Amino acid sequence: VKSRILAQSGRSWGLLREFLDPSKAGPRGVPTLDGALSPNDDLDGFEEVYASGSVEPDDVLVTTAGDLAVSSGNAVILPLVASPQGRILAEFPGQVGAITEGLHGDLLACVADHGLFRVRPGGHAPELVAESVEGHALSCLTAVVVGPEGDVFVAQGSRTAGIDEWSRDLLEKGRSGFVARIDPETGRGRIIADQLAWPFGVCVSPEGALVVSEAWAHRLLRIDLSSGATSIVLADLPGYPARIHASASGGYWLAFLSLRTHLVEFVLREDSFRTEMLQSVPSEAWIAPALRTTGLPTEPLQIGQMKHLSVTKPWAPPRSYGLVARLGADFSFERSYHSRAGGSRHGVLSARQHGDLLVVAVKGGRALVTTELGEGT
Amino acid sequence: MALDAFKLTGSAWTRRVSFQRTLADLLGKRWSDGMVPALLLVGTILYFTTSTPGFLSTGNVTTLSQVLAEIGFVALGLTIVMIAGGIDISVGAIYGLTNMMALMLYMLTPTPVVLLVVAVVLAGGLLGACNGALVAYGKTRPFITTLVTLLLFSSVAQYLERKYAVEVATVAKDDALWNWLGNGLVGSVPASLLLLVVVAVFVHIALTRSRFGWRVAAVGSSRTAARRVGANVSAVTFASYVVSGALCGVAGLLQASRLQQTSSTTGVGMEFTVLTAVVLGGVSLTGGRGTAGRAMMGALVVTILSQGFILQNRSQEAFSTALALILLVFAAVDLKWGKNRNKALEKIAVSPGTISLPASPELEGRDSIWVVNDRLSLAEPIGLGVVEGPEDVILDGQGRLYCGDRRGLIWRFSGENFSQHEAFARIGGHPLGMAFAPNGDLVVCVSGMGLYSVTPAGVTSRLVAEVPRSRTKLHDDSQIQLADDLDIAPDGKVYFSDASTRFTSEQWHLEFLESRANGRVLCYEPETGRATTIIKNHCMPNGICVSHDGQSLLINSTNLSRVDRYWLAGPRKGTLEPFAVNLPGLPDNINRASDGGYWLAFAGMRTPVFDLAVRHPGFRRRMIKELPTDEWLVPQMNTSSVIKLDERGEVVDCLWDATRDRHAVITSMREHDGYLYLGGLTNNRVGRIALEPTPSESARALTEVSL
Repeated sequence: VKSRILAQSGRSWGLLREFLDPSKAGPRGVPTLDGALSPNDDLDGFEEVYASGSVEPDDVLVTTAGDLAVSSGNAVILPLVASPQGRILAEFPGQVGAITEGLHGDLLACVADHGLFRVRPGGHAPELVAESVEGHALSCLTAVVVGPEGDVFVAQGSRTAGIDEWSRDLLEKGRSGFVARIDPETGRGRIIADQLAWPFGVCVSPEGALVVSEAWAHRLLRIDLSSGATSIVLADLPGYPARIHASASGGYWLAFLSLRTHLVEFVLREDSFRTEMLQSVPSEAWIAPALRTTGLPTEPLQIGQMKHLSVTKPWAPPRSYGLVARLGADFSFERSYHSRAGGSRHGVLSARQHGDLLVVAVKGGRALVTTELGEGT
Repeated sequence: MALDAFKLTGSAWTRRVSFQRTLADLLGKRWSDGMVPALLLVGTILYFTTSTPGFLSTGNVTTLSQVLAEIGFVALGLTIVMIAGGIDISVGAIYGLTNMMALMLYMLTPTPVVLLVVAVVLAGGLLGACNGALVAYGKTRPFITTLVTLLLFSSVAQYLERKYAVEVATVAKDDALWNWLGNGLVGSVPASLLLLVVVAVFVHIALTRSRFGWRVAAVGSSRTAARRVGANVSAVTFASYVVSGALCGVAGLLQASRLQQTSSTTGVGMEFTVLTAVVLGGVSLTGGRGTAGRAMMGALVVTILSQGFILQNRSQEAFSTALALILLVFAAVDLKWGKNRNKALEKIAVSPGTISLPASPELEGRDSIWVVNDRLSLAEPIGLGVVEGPEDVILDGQGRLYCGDRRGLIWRFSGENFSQHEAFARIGGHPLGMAFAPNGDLVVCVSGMGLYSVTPAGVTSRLVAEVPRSRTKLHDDSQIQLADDLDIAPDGKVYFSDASTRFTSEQWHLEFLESRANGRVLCYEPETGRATTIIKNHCMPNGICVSHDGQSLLINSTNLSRVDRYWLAGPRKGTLEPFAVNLPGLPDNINRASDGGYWLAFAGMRTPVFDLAVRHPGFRRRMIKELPTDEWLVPQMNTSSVIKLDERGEVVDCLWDATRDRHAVITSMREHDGYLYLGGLTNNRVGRIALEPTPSESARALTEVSL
């Protein structure tokens, strides 16, 4: 009762302050998809590389040798090599997330609950590069990239949540993620940016700075490697940005975990409801973005998501959504590929370009899809 | 006497009344405009009776009534003009001029009093007609026009005074009728007040219940709209000024008779007093809103103030200052009220309450009866692409299938595999529950319209659309808002549910978001043609089904996820007892099965977060306020199932559509000849599945084979 009264008076005070000085109140809206982000169904039309429902691609990589590599489950797979199932390049002791290629053709992989691994070319077994930085276990690595000087940069989503507990971290308004620089030879590293709201992607900009996508803060940060200064390059995104990779034209490919919705933003403001939901409701039934819409009887539903005459409206508020966008070198949106409500290519975590080929890891939709990027797209 | 089902919600009795809801209901009443002046009136009377000795003395009350009568007539006139969207500043001048004319006619000419009365009232009307002609036909601005005529009329009055005042003052005349007009008493009530009451009642009826009154309000609300519905705007405006002038004439006459003297200052400043009275009574300065009764209330406040100040020996200036302050405050209140009342109402109209639900049973688990299966996924479609929203389905003796359609019709499917379809009846509203009466008529619950019947030839007629209004509620619930499902008892009585007395079937989500006991169960008696409430304060009663023995009624509560048995006969007649409680879904319709059990459709499933939201009314209230409608949280309405209950209310079977492609929502099912037919409120088809024979039936079949 006491906490309720406190919450109530806090809310009343907030309302009064907002009434007296509306300009001080934070933005409550969710940005709409317009301009280059205007919705379409293009992602649903992409070609499937790997037509197996068992794959859950987390990150993709095109090696310098031209091979396509995908992280899925505990393994990194080369899907186009040998058999229809592809060839397993390496298996790890935990779930593999982000992967990238090191300077000498070796594969760097982020493994949940374990840390950063390396696989040297030629079929060697995975070896552990780093399992902690400054005493913080690298249990929740979300992204990895190799810097211009051969250093490795990794992002840790959260210090408290595991890699699969990202929705809890979002609902707890977690800000315990960090970006660290690791020497790949010694395995030692240090934190270069801390207290981030689930940094989900890192990449290196053409001028040698680090670009980080901060999912729960819906923004992109730029970290100057020489001075360590952090600046915001793109804020108030309409979705939760996931991995970001450099594109061939000097820009970036940015994948989105899902879109922000009014309801989730509202629940984030409703502290007592959110706390009780986190305690008493199973995680798959939370009001939170999801990688995929399951349709289970316990899944939350919003009015706009209701089927009418057996049709799901594409503009329904999305529980899950598929979105990949290309950004220019100046971080302006140039083109986007969507899979809207009712579509199947939801929960995209990563997209990489190889020549004219765009490869998209659709984790929620359990598919690896590609498209040819023609002239002017 | 209706049974109260409020206790099913599990809430404390204090939850029956909600401050927010009461406020919303009050704001929604047209008479709520009059509450402020009424309170002010009571306050003024209390103040003067306690503070001023002699305020309630006979002499003072009589004077007060006589003054009131005069102010009242002028206020009535001004009210009509203001409701028509105009303003009449010259009322005081007309009052003064007619007052002088009346005295002169009486004193200086031998005119009979009856004729004099008619002449003075006509003169008032004529003066008003000057205003009216200028404003309505000359298209001049009402304010400036009547300001000019005010000067004009008072100049005439001054001229007349200079010329005839001495003459008038020296004549002495006595006439019984003349004296009676201003000073006469009927019993102990002044005749003039009685006259005012009669005229005020007449004006009230004219304004609220006559074509003229409606047009006056229409012109005041929106001239363009009034013209488009065919009102002669100029004529109505003109007439309003004429009536106003005539009423001022009556007031002038009464004052002349009461005081038997006059001066050119009579009526000076009266427009201010009367305007205050009228605005105080809630007659809008912007037109279109106001009543005669409330104007009278305002006039009474102003008169009491005036007489009270005289008794307290306060100066005229004090009275004017008080009036000015009141006018200022109420003009501001009028503006804000008119602007914001509907907005405020909109914000608080939905008032989430609490119901307590036990935790939903687990759907998973090896022994759970609820495990999702795909037994409905392969249902054959009937009427695919033809029907939209078949909430209920029913089959007649010839095996023809009937279902409703959201476009306001009932389809009939016949032939092999129901390949032929025809529009059986056109009702106009979305038909929901259906049942066949013993005489072969199809009785249908129609959303927003009530209970209808359709003959086998397809002729529709209304059975009932209203029930007696509940006495203890501010909210008028006489209309049957959401007739949802029905069943017909062996004695011919039709039992049907009115799922919500507040929301329509298009607003069903608000019923979930409110989670209040808004529904009721009604009974229609064919003999009397009337419906009565048998269960009130029920939580979204939906499916209704008479038990196999005809002794009881099974009633689904969608919000409470339970089924209750209501006894129609037997020792427990008129009471409710639980039949199946704490179901994991939202029960919609319920129907008898062929084996002595019951089929029940879940329109959707409870979700853990919605159950949680039901416990947090503030969460739902803020959600409704802050989020767009499409974003509101509702239970899982994309997953449905059909369950089977035995005669004791135990769940024995559960059929799901795991793919959710064909039947996203199932609101009803009907068993017929070994098939189960599925209807859904937002589906584009009716489904049909063949039922597997029950164990007893297969045993019988086996026996037949072996024989």
